[in-house]
Amino acid sequence: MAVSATPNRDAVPDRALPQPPRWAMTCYRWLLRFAPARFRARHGDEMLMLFADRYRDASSRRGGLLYLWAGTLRDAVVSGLAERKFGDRFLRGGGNDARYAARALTARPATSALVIAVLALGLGASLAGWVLLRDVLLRPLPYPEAERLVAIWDTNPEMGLEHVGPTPANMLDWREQNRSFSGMAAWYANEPRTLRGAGDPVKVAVAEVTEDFFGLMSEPAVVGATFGAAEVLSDEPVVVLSHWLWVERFGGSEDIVGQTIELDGVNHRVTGVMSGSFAVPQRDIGVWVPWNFANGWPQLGYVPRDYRYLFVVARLADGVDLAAAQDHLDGIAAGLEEQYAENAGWRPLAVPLRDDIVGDLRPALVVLYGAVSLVLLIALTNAAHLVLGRELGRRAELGMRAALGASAYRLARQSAFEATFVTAIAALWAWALATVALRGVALVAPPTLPRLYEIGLDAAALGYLAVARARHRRPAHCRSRSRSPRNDHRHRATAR
Amino acid sequence: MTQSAAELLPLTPVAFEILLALAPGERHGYAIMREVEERSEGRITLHPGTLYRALGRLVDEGLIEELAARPSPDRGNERRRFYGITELGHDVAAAEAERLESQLAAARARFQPGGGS
Repeated sequence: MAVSATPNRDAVPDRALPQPPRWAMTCYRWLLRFAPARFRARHGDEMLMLFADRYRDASSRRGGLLYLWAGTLRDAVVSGLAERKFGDRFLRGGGNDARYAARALTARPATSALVIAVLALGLGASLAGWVLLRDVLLRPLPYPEAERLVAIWDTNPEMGLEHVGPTPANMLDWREQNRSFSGMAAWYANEPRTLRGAGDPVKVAVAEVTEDFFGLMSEPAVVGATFGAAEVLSDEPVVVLSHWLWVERFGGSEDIVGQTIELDGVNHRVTGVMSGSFAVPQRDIGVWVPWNFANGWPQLGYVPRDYRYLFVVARLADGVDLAAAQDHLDGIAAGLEEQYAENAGWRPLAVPLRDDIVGDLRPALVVLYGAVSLVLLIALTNAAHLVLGRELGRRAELGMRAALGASAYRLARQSAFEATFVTAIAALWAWALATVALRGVALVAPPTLPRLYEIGLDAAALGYLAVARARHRRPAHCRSRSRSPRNDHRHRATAR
Repeated sequence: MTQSAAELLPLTPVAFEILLALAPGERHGYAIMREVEERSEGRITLHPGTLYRALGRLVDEGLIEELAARPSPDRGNERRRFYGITELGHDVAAAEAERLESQLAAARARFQPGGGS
């Protein structure tokens, strides 16, 4: 523990000391104000000199000033507030105020309940509206590089048709001739089939998908594997289960992979199970089965070019944008139009898959959010009126406290406790209301919306609620500051 | 004196560092800061707020004393307030060193294989 023998700094010879810039000294002088006046009077001058010394040292080091300011800021705030015993002051008497605030709220249970109910309704509606807007409209689809997925439709301007399923033969030609897409797949959600075994027979929705469907979506199975070209072209009856069917019907057992299930009397080998977020073409699909175009139309004996009913999805190749892909598709379509009479007047149209799925919902969701925001505004206004009415009834009480020496700080702190209790309880109810509302929405929403199962409240929603609550508390704060000093105690008491 | 020294233990790390820095002789704030920084090889940086809060407390407890401000040749001859360690400060620092030493011995005996006190 010996003291190291360093030379006494006083013995260092005098040297020219450049002064720190005036603005830096002014800034530090302001930072010193975090500390109480008596502390500044005792140490302020010395601290300024010490800061100037440190500034000179730091400016000779690369990046030194950045560290200096960061450290100085933290030091000034932390030590200044500690010197003011800020924490002690808040804690001392805080428990009393909290108890008193709780008592004040329970003394008028009807008003308090009404304020809480009004706030909960407004906050809950607004929260549910915002979560819906965020999860459906703003988030990308839950698939890898989902922004590169496009849906392709057939249009016929002469006939006024804009959204018609492409024909199988055209889809094969597009897939073969295009250079803008790294893959293209088609599906059709066919008649539900009867699933037997593992309980009572049940109808399940089936999607027949082409061999590159799962590869294109880049979505692996969570259990087992998806099927690809080998299985599809071999014509072996295989099936991939949806997550919900796997859980509901097969108890979520991984042993299901490799076993056979019976669909419309035909045994299918289960190759895998998709994740719960996979909802292509829609959420209620129970199983995906392969669709081999080569033998898909036995009654025709050929792949039809005039059956317009497919759903086609493609993935943009790297470096290709939607406009370039559309140009290229147009070129292919023009060639096909010359070649086949069935194609006269028909043009393919590529649209981002997300727009295709949620496009129609956009205006509805925006209007919905606007409406619930208005509900919130009305709720906040009503709650403010109720609180103001209640506070007017307490003028005498608070005036008395102020007259007996309660400081503005103490009265404001009690008000803050009351507001916090009310909004915290209202926020809990709002959370519950929003949860119920979102469950309801999931039941009635269009089946093509993916990830509705996961729409719900999370940390970000908590943040939203906090901001919305702050909006409720803010006007009160502003009012309490705008009163004249005269009659201060009365207005301080009433204004919240 | 020993009784009051024991009452003031344990010292905060900053207070102990300041007493260490003042042990060789009187110093002003900047010199204390530099000494602590050098001795701790840069691990402890005393910003003005932390330093002067600790100096104020040490003065109030009588462990150091404030001396009259005088010109400091190393700082462009600006008038600086100097601080010196008191007798009580010496005793407290020595007692703190003893306390730390016994802690260190116990720690060595228990945590280091083959270590003795």
